[in-house]
Amino acid sequence: MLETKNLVKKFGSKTAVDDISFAVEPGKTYLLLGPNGSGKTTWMKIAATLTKPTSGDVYLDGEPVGINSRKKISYMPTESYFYNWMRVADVGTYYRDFFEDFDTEKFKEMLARLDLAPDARVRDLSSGMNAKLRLAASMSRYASVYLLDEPLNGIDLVARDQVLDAVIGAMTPDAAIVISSHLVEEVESIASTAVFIRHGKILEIRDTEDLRDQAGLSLADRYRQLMQ
Amino acid sequence: MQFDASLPIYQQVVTDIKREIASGTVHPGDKLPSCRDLAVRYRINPNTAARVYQVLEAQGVAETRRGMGTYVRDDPQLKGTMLREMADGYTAQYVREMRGLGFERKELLKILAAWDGPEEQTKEDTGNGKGKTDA
Amino acid sequence: MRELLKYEFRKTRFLNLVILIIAAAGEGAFLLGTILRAENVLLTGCMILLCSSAAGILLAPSQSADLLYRELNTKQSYMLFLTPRSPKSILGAKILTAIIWLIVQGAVTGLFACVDAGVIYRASGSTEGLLSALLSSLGDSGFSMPDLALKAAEIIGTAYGFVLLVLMELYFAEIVQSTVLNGRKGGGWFALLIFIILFAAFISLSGHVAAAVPEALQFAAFICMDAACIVIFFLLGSYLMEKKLSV
Repeated sequence: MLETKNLVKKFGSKTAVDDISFAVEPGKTYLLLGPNGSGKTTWMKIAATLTKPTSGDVYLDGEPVGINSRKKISYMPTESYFYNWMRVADVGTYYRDFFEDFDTEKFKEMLARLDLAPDARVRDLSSGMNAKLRLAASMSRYASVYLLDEPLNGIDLVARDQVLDAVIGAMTPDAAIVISSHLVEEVESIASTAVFIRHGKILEIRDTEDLRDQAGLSLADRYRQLMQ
Repeated sequence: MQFDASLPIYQQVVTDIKREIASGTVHPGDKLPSCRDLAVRYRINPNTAARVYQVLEAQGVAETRRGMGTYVRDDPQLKGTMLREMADGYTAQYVREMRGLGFERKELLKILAAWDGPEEQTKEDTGNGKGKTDA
Repeated sequence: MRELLKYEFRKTRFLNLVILIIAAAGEGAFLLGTILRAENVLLTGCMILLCSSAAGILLAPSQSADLLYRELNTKQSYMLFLTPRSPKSILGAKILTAIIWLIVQGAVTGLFACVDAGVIYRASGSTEGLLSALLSSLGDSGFSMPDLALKAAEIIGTAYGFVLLVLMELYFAEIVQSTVLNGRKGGGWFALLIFIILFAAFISLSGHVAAAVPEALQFAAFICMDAACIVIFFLLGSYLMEKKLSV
């Protein structure tokens, strides 16, 4: 279980994450919903140990996160970050070299389904193809926590189904998945819990089915209610 | 499957499975997909898929056999029951909508009897298209 | 650590291999000049060898420093910092790679030097003649072979130690800039400023040490100071990366 307690992150005078306390439980899929700049990416990067919080703590299975937590957390950034000299297959080799839970066969399968040639050069990939590669790399690990930052961004319609299928495939009772996405309607059906964020604060945490059951509202409806 | 925004997703999947039983696509005694396969097929959360089967079991439509999976209950009457349930649902919806427009119930019989329109769904249908696309 | 080294080599191999190839070309020209008795080819070969040695000492560490800068300040950072590797390992792999490349460059240059010495000897016909030719061009006289070898080793050791220290100071400056100074704009200039300060401090310290220590021990003292500084910057740098780095 990943827990963030009283997390604050300031960049100069700007507060990106404003006292967020929120636990991510295994077996559930969370959807982080909020406008641009609401703190979703910053929260994820802190949870992924890439960014140090200004104050507050992050715990994974009771231990403060550190270098070892990276073995259990799989983060998919929105930006492209692979070394330019790499080919698609090299990315898989890199992940295999550094992550014990990386499944090379799964990676190859995903590349095939997402239509990525293993010998293509990273520098030649379009932004959409780079996104697919990032997804294939992060989803071919057997992590405890998956943090996917805008996994559908730049991905064509047909490939989005592949992406969602891959994410569903990773849903096990031991794993927790956190997805940040603007494409609420497309991701809604696979999420169990919605976390609404604005201005670095959590507005509400809601079970997606209960929201429909009790209030007759979809996530998109509730989002509009909260954010307007 | 395109989901209706106002109804719980698990409910819509339950209805879809009942529809398959009613229409004969799925027969009593047939094995239903595993929770994970159901999740993939409908593109839903596996927890939601589990809930679908819980509901179907509670309503006597499906049964879980330990170690083997979930099956449609092997009852020859089931198809008939599902047909009636689906029909009631559509009829109730129709009556509700038409009454909402101001029609009296006794007018509806005459309208239906005189109905001359196409039986296949066409582009001109002004219905909401609630979950009719194939999964 | 092994994986980190694998990729550090992969990232730095192009420049280093090019330098080695150019050195080999220089050596080839030298040998060709010897065989054809063409002095300009021979001298060109010498120049190329000298230049490639200089490049090995200057360019390769610069590339390494530039690489770290990019890996601390651009999204490339994710490659290193998503992996479960400590800053000590990451920084250690980088400096180790630089050391290994320096050794390789040095060994190749040394090998070529020996081959060339042998070739000159055979061409001129006597060791004495070769030695006195070298000695007179160095401006020294009356030194024996062991002394000369020791002096050469000292010079090379000093140069390598110095280069590695400079590299570590560059690393440290970049780390300070990207952590404590929060990677502000114009960060490259900040890093350079920090580096210049550290460098100047080291030079002045060297001066004090040189004044205080007898000549025989100067080399040893310099190496110790060098090594100590490298270790200090390494530990400080890793500490900053571990506690303060946000990418």
